[in-house]
Amino acid sequence: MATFFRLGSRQVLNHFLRNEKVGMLSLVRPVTLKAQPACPPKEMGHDERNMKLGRPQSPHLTIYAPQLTSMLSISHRATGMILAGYTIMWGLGAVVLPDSISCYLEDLAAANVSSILLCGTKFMLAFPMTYHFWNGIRHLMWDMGLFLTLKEVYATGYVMLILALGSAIALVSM
Amino acid sequence: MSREMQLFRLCRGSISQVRCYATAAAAPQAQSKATREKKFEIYRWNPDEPNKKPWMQEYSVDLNACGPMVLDALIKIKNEMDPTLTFRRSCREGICGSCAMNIGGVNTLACISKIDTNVAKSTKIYPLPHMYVVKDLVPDMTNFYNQYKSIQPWLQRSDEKKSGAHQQYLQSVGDRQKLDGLYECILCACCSTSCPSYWWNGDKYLGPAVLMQAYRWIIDSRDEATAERLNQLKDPFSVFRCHTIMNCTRTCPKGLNPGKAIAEIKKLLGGFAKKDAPGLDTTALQR
Amino acid sequence: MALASILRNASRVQAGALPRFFFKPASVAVNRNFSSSLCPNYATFNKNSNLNLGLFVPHSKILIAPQARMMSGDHSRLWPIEKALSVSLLVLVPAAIASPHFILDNLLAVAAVAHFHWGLEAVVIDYARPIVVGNVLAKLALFLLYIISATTLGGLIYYNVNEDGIGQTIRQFWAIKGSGKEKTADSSGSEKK
Repeated sequence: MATFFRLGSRQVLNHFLRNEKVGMLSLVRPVTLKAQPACPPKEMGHDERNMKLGRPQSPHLTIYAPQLTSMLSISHRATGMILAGYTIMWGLGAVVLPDSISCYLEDLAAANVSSILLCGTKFMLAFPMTYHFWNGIRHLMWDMGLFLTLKEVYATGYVMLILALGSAIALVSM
Repeated sequence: MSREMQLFRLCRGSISQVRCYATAAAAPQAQSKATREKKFEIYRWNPDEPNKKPWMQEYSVDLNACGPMVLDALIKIKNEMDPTLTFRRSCREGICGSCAMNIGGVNTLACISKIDTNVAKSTKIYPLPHMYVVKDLVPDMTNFYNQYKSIQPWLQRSDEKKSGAHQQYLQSVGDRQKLDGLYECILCACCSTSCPSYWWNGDKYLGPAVLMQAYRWIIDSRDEATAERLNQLKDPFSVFRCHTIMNCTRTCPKGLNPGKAIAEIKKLLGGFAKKDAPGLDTTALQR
Repeated sequence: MALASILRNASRVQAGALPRFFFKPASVAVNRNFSSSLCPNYATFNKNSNLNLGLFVPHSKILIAPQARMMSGDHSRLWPIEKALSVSLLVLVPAAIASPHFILDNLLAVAAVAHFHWGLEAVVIDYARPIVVGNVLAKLALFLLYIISATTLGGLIYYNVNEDGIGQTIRQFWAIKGSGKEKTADSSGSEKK
């Protein structure tokens, strides 16, 4: 731009006309370019980069169809957590409760609780156990590499459900 | 210009014009014919308006004027109704893996997923679950591809010659059969993005697609890097986040079984199984 | 003139991060948290990882021993033990209830606690992820789990030693009959003590 202004002035024009041999180059100010080392692109993790770009995450749990595969699997985990809860309560209760557990059981026996309530409670104890037990066997079969085709996964899944429910009912009725 | 050329330019297209008049005359009658209007609810998000939350946009497609597959409907919507609808697609025959998306709650390829012709229900289309969305139905697959790269999906041998003519490495029929059901993977990512473990720990858990490819190279009789490949997978996350949920096998649009491949990897890692010796002398032709 | 100065400085120009190709003889550190730079072909990897792929170099040594991993532990040794424990539980649970015995009760206590500890550990690792709950809470959750498991084991063994034992107690509870059921005094399952 400076060059333009310079060109515009009469002085420059006369200078130019008189020094034709030097030419336009004399009007240009010499500039040095500084070369800088190339900066590699900043390394960011996948999550960090996408969050920085403000991208949303596509929905998952809310939209994925419930299937036997995932439902039986999460139930296995749920029953496992329930059983762990029972075990933890027992271990803690044994130490924390004022009376011995057998005292409480005797009280319970004497309380003559309705059998429906008792059966319900027994079922709530037995079913997670039987479900986790039979599905656990299914899992161990898978770990050996057996019954892993889709057809077999579904078939063993239904068989396991029947066994779990059946054995729970059998146990409760004992 | 010559007379003939002028005449040609005048009459060009007149036959098709006549044909159009004919169909135009018939059009009102066609419209009175029954149309099967199917509703599609499609996930939308525009990176040019990042503050606008993703929404579901409804489109209505006449199934009588549309191909049978979901991709046909998507292309029809993009061509005729909403050019801004963005999705990946290429081969339209279920071999490239580009159009992987969540249709009706299940991950599959749009080009081989038949439209549910029950017009009373709408079909919901989402991008692959728990992935960062680039736009509409397009997820960011970078992490997935990097994970695939990390398992070094190529043959590794100690006797590889750097140059010169190569003789083939021999492989018995039985050994080649072990690769069936593994090599056909098109890396569409339907399985990995159907796995809840990959949803929660996708940064460190490799996912069924990549693990099945890791297994494909582990049990290839010509590969000699088995120990290193297994060593790479020993940590608690790469393989062992798999809890045999089996959503992967359920959803694979090519009918493959990544769940079984992962089970076999676990057996190899746990010492319950060993890779068989090659059935043929692999380097018999090299000498 | 500008060109001249560039050429003069050329030797001082560094090429930035060189693309790291897999066929380099030296071991390449690979990060599980993959950096997604704008040019994926650049193949730059995070340097803060020490996961070594143990590159299989075709023309020289066969094996390069993998070094310390980013994720702790060799889970592949633990996994067969977890499975063996699960199998043992399949036997122990029915056995301890069917024929209560002091040794069976304690074996059951140890096996059950170990089994649920590893199960809940998987739950905690899956769901209490640092990216969601933060680094502190993730570690805290795991620590709490150890406390709970240890306490439960202590409580159960205390119960086995000082009170009736697990198997016997289950039988005792199961024998309780509620009202509204016909009292058949000699019915099965009512073996007490």
